[in-house]
Amino acid sequence: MNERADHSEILEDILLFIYPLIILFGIFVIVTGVTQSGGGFQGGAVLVAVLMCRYLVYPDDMLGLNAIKKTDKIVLILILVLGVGAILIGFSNLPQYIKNIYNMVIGILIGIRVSSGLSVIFYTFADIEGGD
Amino acid sequence: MRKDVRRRLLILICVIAITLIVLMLLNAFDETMKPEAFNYYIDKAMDETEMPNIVTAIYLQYRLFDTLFEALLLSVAVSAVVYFAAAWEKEEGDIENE
Repeated sequence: MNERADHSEILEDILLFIYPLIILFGIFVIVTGVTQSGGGFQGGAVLVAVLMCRYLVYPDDMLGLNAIKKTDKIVLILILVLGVGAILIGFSNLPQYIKNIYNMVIGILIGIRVSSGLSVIFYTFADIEGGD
Repeated sequence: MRKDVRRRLLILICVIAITLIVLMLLNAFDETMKPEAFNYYIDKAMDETEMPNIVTAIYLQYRLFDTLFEALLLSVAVSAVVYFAAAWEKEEGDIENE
């Protein structure tokens, strides 16, 4: 049993209430990043806050670290393929609706990538610091 | 004088000297760069890229390589953190075994 298992119930209840708000805000920042302020990087960083909160409540339970690492790699490859593909095809010649879809997709991919990358970094440090 | 005190004093003197030099250099020249890129993007970004806003136009069009390699950079950072963490844990384990 971890020494921090005696976590505060107040913290747990409040964080359980805040989770959906953080997730919604992160998705909002990613999706509206194309037209307004925000973007994939910022939204991804917001989404990592969910995992950080979760770690505060359940320090023993690393939520699917291997799956996150795998997602990280797959999304990186997708971003590179899409980005280089757009350059090779000639992005400015494409019709407007494809450009809009492309912007949205690459924004979401960057968001997933940043959140998964930062999650891996956070979990790795948390594992080192909290493991002993 | 103890060694670490002397070292700290040296660092302090270096920091003050560098600050003074930077401040002097800042005030020595009154040249300013013309904001050509700035004006270019403001004037032409919307027409050239047909993106919904200029920031998106810059980071997905003019600076697409920057965005891609930034994604790659994060990957390198993640790899480095995971690698060094594994090495550090192995070292800790070796010390405990001895």
